[in-house]
Formats: sequence, structure tokens, C-alpha cells
Amino acid sequence: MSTLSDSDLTPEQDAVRRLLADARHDGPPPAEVVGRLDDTLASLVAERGGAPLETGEPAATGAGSVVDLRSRRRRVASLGVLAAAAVVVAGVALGQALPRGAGGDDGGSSADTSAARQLDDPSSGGSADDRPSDEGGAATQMAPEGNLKSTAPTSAPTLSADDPDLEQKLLDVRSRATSSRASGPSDVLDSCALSEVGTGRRLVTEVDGQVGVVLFRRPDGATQQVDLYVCGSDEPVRTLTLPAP
Amino acid sequence: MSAPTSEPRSDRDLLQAHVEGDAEAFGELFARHRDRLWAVALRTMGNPEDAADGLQDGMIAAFRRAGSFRGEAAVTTWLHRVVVNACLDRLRAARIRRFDALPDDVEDRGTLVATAVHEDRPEDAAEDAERRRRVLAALQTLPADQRAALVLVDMEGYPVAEVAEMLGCAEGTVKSRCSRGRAKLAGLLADLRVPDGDPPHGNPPPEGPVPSSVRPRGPPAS
Repeated sequence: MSTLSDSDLTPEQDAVRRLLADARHDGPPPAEVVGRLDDTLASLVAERGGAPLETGEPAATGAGSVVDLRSRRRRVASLGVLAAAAVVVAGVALGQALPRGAGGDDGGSSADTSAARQLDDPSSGGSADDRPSDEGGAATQMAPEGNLKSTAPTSAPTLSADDPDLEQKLLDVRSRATSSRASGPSDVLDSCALSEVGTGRRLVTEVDGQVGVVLFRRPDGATQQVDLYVCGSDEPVRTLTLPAP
Repeated sequence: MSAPTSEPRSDRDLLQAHVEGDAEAFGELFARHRDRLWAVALRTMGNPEDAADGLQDGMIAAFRRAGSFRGEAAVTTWLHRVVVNACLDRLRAARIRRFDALPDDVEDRGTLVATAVHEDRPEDAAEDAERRRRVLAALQTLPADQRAALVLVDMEGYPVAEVAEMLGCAEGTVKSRCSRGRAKLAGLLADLRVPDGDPPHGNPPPEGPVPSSVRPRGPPAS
């Protein structure tokens, strides 16, 4: 196991390390935070009941709020929607199986973008030089919300809500989408049941192994909010802010 | 589904019990690591309010995703990863302004280790407090990824390999982020130097992983 010993550091860096160590927080959370966590946990337990979790279930819900529990129930009820969209998943799988062009500079890219990526998977590596990974040959199709009907062929990008490089991948998706007018299969978008998520440009995608949508909001000044949804839930599994295009 | 003996259940046992429907198991597991997760969230987010949000997000995510844990990493590593990712999500979403938005009381609302050792010397305590304020303010000027790496490696004392698992990147990436972060902080904090031979007193023991009553890396109970 690798550690950074003092001898690895310059005197300046070692001085910084000492300062940081001195600034470490030591102590429990404030009582109000503990109470809030306890309340949230009680809500989660009550919502779940005594049912066991599905093992190996991909992360369908990202870091969210307790409100997400309602959307989870809706998601369960929307299995029919997901079944209708299975064609997209098949398309994605086929697209991933096909050979890709060269250009990926990150050996961990495949693991990072795997829809079935596990949180405890140590193989999900990044590049040593910290460059963002290349999403690979996923075609992207975007369309304004009011123009969801599309006949475009599709292979949707595969994203993971836990991907630390998700921001860069969304930038790549957005840039590629500028050359395309399509959004994905219209039946999927129509049946995705995202009725309360607001406006923006939607892109059919695979999020954590499920059919989902990337929603690029209207840029606000220098930034643009992007939300990732799993079909059937109006609660985003992840929200990011990108520089405006 | 409680263990028949009085021996505390291991982290893995608790997580498995949670997956199988034990309503108490996750609370016990999270409480076991909550203080250190809070410390990481607090230093990553920069203020208690955002840290509470990030920690709550992480707890919810861990509760729901427990079924996907395959046991290839320590449970505590997995928990840290979920919480850190939740914090980074919030930072990216909110575009928190780093230095300017740092509240005056970001120092701490908990224990002040540095000042505690100078209770009888107010002038030294004030100097320590000011130094910590400067360090924390400078830390907030770093990109979120560099900050998270420094919090976990330099503040919390986790081994680089474990931090790499927490952050979902290569060890080289962690080292790179730490190095670049320290280089920038060195410029910002050049006038603050801890004299040689005065070891930092905020770091945990070199073993790194969160102290637990049960060794967390043991094989899953059959």
C-alpha cells in the first residue's frame, strides 16, 4: 500500500502537509446534524420496511434527499416503461461491443463508464496525469424538449452517476451533440414519464444500467445545469453544473 | 437478526444484515464511522451547512446502494467514497465560491484541537486559530478534486492507495492531485510554517483507516 512519506515531499510540501494536519477537524457532528441524519435514516428505514435489498443492484439513485423515496416508488411502478425502452439498452450494449476507434487515453475509462460499475470496484481507475477520460464512441443525440420526436438511429451514451469524471464526459456528450439534431427513439422519450422536470434539451442515455435521460438546462450566464434522470423518476440521480457552451 | 453474542458485529456483517433487511444494522454501521465522515465532509465542503447536506446525501446513497457492495474494498472505504462523491456532486452543482464565500466561522463548530493545547496561553491559541483559518481558507481555493485528495491524505491520514479507492481513481492521480494542491497552498501559506520538530497534532495514527472495534478488512462471515 502506497503512502506518502516525508522523504517524498519537498520541504515546502511537507510544511503544507503539517499545516493541513493541524487543521484537521476532530469531533462529532453538531447535535442538529446528528438529529437530522437520524430523522433521515428513520424515514429510509420506514420506507423500506423489512424488505431485503437487491444485491448487485446498480446505483439507481444518486445522492439525493428523502423526497427521492417517492420517486423510487414511481420507478418501481414504471417497469413497463423500462421494458418498452429495453431496445435502447440493447442498442447500447451492441454499440459497446463494436470496436472503437483509438484515442482513449485513460486505461480506466471502460471501468469508469460501465453501467454496472460497483462503488467498491478497485479496478475503476483514472489516469495518472488526471486527464479526463474519453467517453468513447457513444453517439449522442439531443433535441429541444418540444422536439422530442425523432427518427434518428441511436446508440446512447452510457453514464454512471458515481463517475468522478462525469462532468468531463457530459462536456464531451454536449459537444458531440451539437452536430446532431436527434434525441433518441421517440417511444422511449415519450414513455420516459419525466413530467415534472422542467425544460431543457434531453438526451436518451443509460444511467447506471437503466434507461435514462440527460437534461441540459438552458444556460444561465456562464453556467449550464445538467440533470441525470432514470426513466420513471422525476428526481435526478445527479446534478452537475457545466460551463455554458 | 441480531447477533446472538455480545460481540460487536463487523462492518461487513452490519452491511450484510442491512441488505438482508435488518432495520437497525445500517444505523449502527453509519454511527460507527459518522464522526470521521463528518470531518471529511466538513473539510471538503468548507462549511457545516453544506457538509451536513453532503453527509446526508452520502448516507442516503449508501443506504440504498448497499446491495451493490461486493466486498472487494473495506466497508469504511466504500462509505468514504459514497460520501466524498456526494460532497463533490454538491460542490460541482452549486459552484460554491471558494475563498470569498468562506464563512467567518468556518474554523469549526466542534473541537478545536489546536487551540485546546494552548488553553493557558490565549495569545498562542489566537495564533493557532488564525493559522487554521488561513489554512482552511486557502484549502477552499483549490479545485474540488485536489481538495478532497488533500483532506483524505494529509488531513485524515489515509494511505494513498485507500484514497484512490475512495475517489475512484489511480494512485498516481491521487498523488498528482495532492502535489498540485500542496504546491498552490505552499504559495498561499508561505508565511505560515510549522517549525521542524513540531509534529502536527491533528492527524490520526498512521494506520489510517477509521478506528473500529472490529477489523474491517476481514473476510465476510459465512
